[in-house]
Amino acid sequence: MAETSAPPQLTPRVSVLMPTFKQAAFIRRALESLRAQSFADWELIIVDDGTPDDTGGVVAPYLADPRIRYHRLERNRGLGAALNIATGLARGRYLAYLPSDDLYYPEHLTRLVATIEAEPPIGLVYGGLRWAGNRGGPTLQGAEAVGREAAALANPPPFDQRAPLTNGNLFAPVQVLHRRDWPGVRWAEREEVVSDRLEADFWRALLAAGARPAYVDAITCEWVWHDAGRTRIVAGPAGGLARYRAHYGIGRGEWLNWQPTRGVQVDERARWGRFAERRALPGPDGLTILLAGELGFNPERVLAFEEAGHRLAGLWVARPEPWDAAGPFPWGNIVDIPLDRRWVERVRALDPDVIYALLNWQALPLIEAVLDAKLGIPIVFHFKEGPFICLEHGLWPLLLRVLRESDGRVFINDEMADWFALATDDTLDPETTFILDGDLPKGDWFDERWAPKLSAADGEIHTVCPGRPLGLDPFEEIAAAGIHVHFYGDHFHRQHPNWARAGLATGHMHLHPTVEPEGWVRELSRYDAAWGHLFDSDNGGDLRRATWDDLNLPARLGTFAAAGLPWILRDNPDARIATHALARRHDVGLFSRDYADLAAQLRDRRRLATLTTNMRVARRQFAFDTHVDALVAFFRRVMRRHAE
Amino acid sequence: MDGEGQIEEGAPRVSVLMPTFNQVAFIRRALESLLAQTLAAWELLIVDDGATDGTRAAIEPFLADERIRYERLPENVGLGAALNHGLARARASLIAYLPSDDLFYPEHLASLIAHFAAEPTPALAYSGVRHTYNRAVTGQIEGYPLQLAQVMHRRTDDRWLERGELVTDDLERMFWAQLRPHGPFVGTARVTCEWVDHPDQRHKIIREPLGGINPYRARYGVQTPLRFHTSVGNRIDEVEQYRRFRERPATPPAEDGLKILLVGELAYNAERVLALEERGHTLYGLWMQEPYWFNTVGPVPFGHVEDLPRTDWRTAVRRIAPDIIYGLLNWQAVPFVHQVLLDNPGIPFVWHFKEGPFICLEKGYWPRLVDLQTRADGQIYSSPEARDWFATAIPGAVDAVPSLVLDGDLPKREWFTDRRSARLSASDGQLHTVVPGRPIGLHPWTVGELADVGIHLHFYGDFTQGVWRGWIEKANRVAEGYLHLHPNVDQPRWVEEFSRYDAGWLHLFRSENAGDVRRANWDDLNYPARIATLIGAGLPLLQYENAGAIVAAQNLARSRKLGLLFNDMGQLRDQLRDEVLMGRLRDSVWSQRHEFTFDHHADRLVAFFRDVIATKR
Repeated sequence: MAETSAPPQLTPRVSVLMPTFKQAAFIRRALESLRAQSFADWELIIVDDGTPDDTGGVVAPYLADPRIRYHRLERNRGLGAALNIATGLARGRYLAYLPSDDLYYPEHLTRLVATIEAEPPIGLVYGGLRWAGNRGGPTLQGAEAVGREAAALANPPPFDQRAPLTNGNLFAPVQVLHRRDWPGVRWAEREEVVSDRLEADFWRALLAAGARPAYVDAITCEWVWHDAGRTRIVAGPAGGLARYRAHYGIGRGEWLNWQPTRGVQVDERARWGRFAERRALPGPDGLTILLAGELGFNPERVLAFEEAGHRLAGLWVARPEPWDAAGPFPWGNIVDIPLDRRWVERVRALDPDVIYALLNWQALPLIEAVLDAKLGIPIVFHFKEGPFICLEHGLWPLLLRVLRESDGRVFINDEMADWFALATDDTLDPETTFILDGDLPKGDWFDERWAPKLSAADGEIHTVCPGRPLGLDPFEEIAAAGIHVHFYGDHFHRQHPNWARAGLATGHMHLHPTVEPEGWVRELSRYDAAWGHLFDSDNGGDLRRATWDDLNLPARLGTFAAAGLPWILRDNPDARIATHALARRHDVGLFSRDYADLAAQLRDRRRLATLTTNMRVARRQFAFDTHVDALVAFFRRVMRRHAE
Repeated sequence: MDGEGQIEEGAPRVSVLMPTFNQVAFIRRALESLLAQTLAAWELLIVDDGATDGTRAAIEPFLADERIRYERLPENVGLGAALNHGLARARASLIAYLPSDDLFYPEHLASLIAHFAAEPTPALAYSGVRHTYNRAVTGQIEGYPLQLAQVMHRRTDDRWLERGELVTDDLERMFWAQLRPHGPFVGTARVTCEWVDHPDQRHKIIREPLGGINPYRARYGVQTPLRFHTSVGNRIDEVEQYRRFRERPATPPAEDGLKILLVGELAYNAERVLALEERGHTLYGLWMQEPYWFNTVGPVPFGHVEDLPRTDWRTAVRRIAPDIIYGLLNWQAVPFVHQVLLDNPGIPFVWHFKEGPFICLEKGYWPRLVDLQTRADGQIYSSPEARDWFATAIPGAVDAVPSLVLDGDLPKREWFTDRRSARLSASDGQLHTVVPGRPIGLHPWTVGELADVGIHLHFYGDFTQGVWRGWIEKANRVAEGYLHLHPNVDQPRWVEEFSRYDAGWLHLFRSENAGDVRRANWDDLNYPARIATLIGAGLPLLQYENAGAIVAAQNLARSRKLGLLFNDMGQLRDQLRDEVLMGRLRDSVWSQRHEFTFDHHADRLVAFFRDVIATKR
């Protein structure tokens, strides 16, 4: 049960709400700044949102002040719920906010209260704030928004990938004081949506409910801008779903509707809800597999291990990139091992048969820690992206160590294996080497809901680009060749606004929202072909000169396979390119040097039908499920050698 | 020159030199690419420059090829000496280079060698090169000298500059320039090699601001003082500058002398710590890895500090049993000093912090900084204002343990000489001010304002000028004849150089804290290191008057009568023209200047250490 210290006797004028989670190193500064207020008629309601650190101990001495109440939630429920709970406990005429990592300057409450009481119709007042280092001003959108707050919230500045804030917010909570009761206005809770729009949505609702805003005409507080602030965890350049779930300890069975303003959005229940009910059936000789690292794209593929009778545990990187999936996940039965001081004992207690260490460069430091722990458990290392980024980041020596010390190695294709053989001047032992792409999708998405081709209806050529449009330039030439491009994904539209605008002007580009895996076949099989990454390779057949474009298998290939779509690729006759080799193996590639040539090939309906059939026939090769038994057999072989 | 016909059967046509140091993860890739050459008549000389990472074992299988020789130098001597070692042993008439982290494409040697048949015979031929992952140029990379991997040249008696002479990233200066008189340099215009891009490349370790003298010293374990001058940085001559300290005998330990373990980094004016050694205390060093260029770490070039090994330092700490751990100084050191704090076996621990709390917030170091500020046995704040800020930011921490206020990187007394020069203004009747580092807050238009009222600005520092090139252009446009650029000046010449001016600039800014320390930013709390530089030369300090604000440097200047505070440049000119005022100020600065040496505070610091030790007991 939640515990709450006793409420004070008198009704204060201002209730200051302080939600807190994992901020023991910050909270004293916030409390000190509140106690230094020239305005004394406040109560403070601290809602400890289930923090695992020593916040309780740090706060304890402050509770001698009868104005301060401390309410602890048994488990983390998220900022929205914590604020709603704090609001429910508040008794003051006004509410103010002091997140535990922020601070007030001494005149903050005095000035805000004076302003809101000066003219009774005012419903919300705000002080100016300092934020993001030395930025400062009346609002998060500068001084221009003063006096037109509702309009500024309704029409935020255009999306800017490089801006510190992308959510169009106007006020950080720390700068706001408002009248307490606005029926129907509440903070969105985690069960509804997780977004960095949380604050902006709340202010918009307050203003819509009739709260008239006013600025106090002075900078009175600071939104302390630090690496682990919620806004940055949700939508900062180093934020993302996996970091959010890990930071707040959101585990199995908890589904998020993840809607950041920067980065990929996903409603977890909509995408993965079909796996909610699935139960693992450990087989009699099923393995216990510890996944260590991160999963890249298509993370739900690992459920195929569970379906094949194996048990999964997960030890996840602390800071995956926004696009990169890492646990804890809502689906499946993965036993998550928190990366705390005790993770080694926990792994020993779990005693897995094999550690499946994966997948991209971000995982290497964690995998190094696993090696250093000398657990005596066989390790299979699966590596995708990429050798060059490891060089760039100074991870090359570590990558080679992990390759050398792992008991088994999985490369994403022959080209990558050969590249490493050259780079290490070593021959790879086939007994301990396996070839499998790193983030193939789960086979469940490869359904039979085929749609009729658009081109059959209108006689035009319709192609699809379901991700970054790499090399699709100049668009005018594509349009001139009579090729329509259907460009999917809100996230990508935001990232490539100029390209999209140029395309729309030709009448040959069509924007579509993100297509979830569930819609891959139904939605994308309408098209004639799909765009791979277009690039010129100058490796001349010598892998020493390869770049990542040459070695990579873009994740979208799995999507194309599911939807039975031929791949559009740029012909590089003398180069050795992994994607092209794969396309040739299955005969699913449209190789062309220019868009007119491409259009001619796309108009060759007989050839196109052959390619389409080929892709449909081969598509199961692109489902992870197809390879699970072989991969597990490889694990077992590695385990046997390790035992010997 | 050797023509085709004169080549003996089997004799190498080109000697490939491969210097290597701690690149075991790279070297096999390089070797494989050499073995794949279409031209087979090469010899390879691997010069192992004291690698400690198993390089020998990694290349062992390659030695079966009789074209490959391997020579190991007993300790790291640096690129120049390693290459000279190779040059002296090369047998072919042509020399090529394959640094162990780089890569040839198969036709590289054949393509280069073909160019030596031309008339006049070139001194050097160079190929195009891939660099920065996937970019490539068909000749020299813009902004860089020719790189080793792309070059082939005729054998020569010329020699590479060695570490003892100069450390630089500029290969032209190290060697290529000497070849130019011998004949043309010709390009193949074909990309046949890769200068592999990774953070541990030598030029990146050397070149400021990401590299620099401290990263270089740490990476190569250099025990000797350096002459160091990169293509972007200031010229540094540690050999001369620190000779007087290094070559004097060690001070015998005093009877009650302390064993002081320095942990972290020393930043500017690092030799100041010798003031402790001169008082009979014994100094040890345990240094952070991966310093920035200004984070001074050992082995220190001025001597008298014994370094502990970075690996297994815990055992070493137990062995020497220091009386006190003195952790310092800037944010880069926070993670390492924090680790030592957590693993400290009970030795009294003092934490001295300078820059800065805000950058720790931004970098995510704040929780570790809070640990250091709350768990150390003694705290040293770099200014009273920084102490007051921490009193609000971590309530209770400031009074919990003994504390001291002492700027973090004050200079050593010796540099405060009496060699004052005549003031320029005395001879030309104009006003001359100096900025001995980044002209922070002096915008180009501010320099224009200065020019408008007849104030000259003398800007020192080649490295800073390189970074501020655009600023210099703009300032020159609006202040023609009033902006003067000078190369960097090291400590020994501070007084005679800077004393020529009337006054010196601190950072110029308008504070916004309105007297509330909670609102302070780093400008408000900081004592810029240049304060001591200017005071030592007897110069009054220049800064905006920030009435009502808490500004550490302003409080210092005001309370001790060390500078001019002004609101606009007209007011500044009037004050600078006021001979009586300026005379008084100069006397005031000169009479107090020794308080801005570390030596002046050394006894106070030691007394503080003793206090912390006593409290801990």
